[in-house]
Amino acid sequence: MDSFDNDVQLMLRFQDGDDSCFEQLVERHKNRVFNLAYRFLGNHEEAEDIAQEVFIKIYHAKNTYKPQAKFTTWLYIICKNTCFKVLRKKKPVMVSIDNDIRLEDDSVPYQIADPNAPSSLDSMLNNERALVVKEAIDSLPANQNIAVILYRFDRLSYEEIAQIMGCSVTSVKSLLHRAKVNLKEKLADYFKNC
Amino acid sequence: MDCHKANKLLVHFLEGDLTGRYKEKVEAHLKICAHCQKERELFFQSWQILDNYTTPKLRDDFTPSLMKKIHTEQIKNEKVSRRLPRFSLQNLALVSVLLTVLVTTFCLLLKKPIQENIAVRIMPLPIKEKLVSPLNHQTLSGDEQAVGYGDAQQLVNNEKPSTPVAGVSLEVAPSQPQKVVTPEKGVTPLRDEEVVKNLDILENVDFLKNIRLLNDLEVVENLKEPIP
Repeated sequence: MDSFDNDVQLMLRFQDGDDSCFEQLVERHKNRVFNLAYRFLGNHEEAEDIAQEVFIKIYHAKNTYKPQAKFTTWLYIICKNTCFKVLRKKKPVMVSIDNDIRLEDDSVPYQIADPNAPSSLDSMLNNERALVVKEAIDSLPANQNIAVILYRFDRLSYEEIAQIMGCSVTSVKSLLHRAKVNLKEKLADYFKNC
Repeated sequence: MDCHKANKLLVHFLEGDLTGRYKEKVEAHLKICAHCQKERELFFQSWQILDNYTTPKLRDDFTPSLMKKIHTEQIKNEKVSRRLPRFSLQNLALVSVLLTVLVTTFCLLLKKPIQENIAVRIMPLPIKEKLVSPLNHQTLSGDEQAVGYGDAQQLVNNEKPSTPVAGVSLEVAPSQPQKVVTPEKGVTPLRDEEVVKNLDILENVDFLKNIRLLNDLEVVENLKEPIP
């Protein structure tokens, strides 16, 4: 069965009073929502809160839901709007440069070596790369950020992204174009040093 | 094609949006220009490196925790909606009681000044004394005093006051024969101006006589029949 039809069917059954269908929808899409929120905001706790908030909104909106488009499009729209709302409320965190950064002494837990795990150097490199990428994406303007996430990570089409963002396909292409230029400029130094 | 133009079209070229003449020109330029080749490589790498952007794992109890939160909110909303009508009724009763008290207080406050105004219009004692003292040095009987200035002209003319006028708070003497006060020799009669002035006051008093509120004054109740 096509997942698109399946999601809509579940939502319609949930409208009729079957709460287990809602739980199925949550299980199916919770990672999608969480990943989008995490990539957009960069914070684990906030991403979880947003994911909860999105599904609570869907729960309360069951009576007004109309299957006019894909369920995931509707889901993404709610998620995007929630993320933007949180971003607007967010204030920059002030950190004093006079505060000492304390490392915990004698607090390293006992670890059992995993033979399949990458080496510590590889882990370090991966972590460094992930951090660099995260910083580059976080530095993008909100609209470019969300367009990159939806296109690059969620593999959505230009038309779907345009529907979610409420703009034209041309605008989406333009956003992605500028995002790529910005990412190249941000990561150029990293690639030079590699 | 120069590097400036090629750089502008590079992203479109990499995305596959270029066709025909422009695509060929960019391809040709990239074959000969090392700088633009490097730029193409940078674009490619910066896009590919995004694969390294991994996300942490969502906790396992996300769904049960979410459903619990939803149900808790539902129970809370039901309790609030039950309390709301009762709260509204109580609130409404309280507001109506307060309004009643306020309106009553306001009405009572309004009544008081009116009564005070009326009392002022009725002859004050100093004026009374002015009228009485020139007439005679005798003290008036209680009834005469109670009558007050019923008719200043009458008093001046030694006539009995025809209508008793309220307002002067006096003790009414027990029934005694009413004496007609006659001015004695040596008593300076009232000047005309004062008489007119007092008449003005009396006119107001006469007017006030007709006001219902005068009936509430205790003095009126204690007034006896006028002097025949």
